[in-house]
Amino acid sequence: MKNRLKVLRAERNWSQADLAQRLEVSRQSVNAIETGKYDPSLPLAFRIARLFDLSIETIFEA
Amino acid sequence: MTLGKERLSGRTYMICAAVLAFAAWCAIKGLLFFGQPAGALTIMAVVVAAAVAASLMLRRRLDEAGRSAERFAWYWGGGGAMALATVYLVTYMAAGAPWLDLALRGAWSPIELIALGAFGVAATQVMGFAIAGAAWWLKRR
Repeated sequence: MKNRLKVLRAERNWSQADLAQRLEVSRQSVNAIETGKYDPSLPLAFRIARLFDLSIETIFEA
Repeated sequence: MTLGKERLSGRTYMICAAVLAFAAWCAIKGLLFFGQPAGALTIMAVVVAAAVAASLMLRRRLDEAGRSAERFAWYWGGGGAMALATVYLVTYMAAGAPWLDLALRGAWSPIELIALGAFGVAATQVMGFAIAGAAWWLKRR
């Protein structure tokens, strides 16, 4: 699944570790999500959307 | 792949406790049957309790991707390794199995054979788990 996570993170000058800490997941998980190799669960997708103050469909696309 | 906050449900702890109690009961019955000393039972109980506690602590710290990796590793790694080991054993037995022959002639006591079997199963599953878990994460780097 494609997503804009890397762009959104870069806009805020956050490292993967920073984002991981905010989302309470591991840096490896953030990397896997960013590269589209791991699809987050719905609760985690909601946490991501809430963190960036955007809707889920704005961040993720099928 | 690990981080705090995730919590296991009370049901998970209850299932773990029930499985552990049943396994301990089976193990103690078995060891008593083979006339093992109480010291061995105590050491075994402490080791098993420590292993279960460590597993629960590790599991609790995994995030959702880590848990996906763990599920994949146990299912495909543990199961796959056991399937391969079974094929190997059947082939080995079909080829004469000199090692089993020795065991059947009494070279090893029943308790030694049980210990060897348990170790073999655990080692096989852990190897498969490690390989499959590493593969899962490498694929998602």
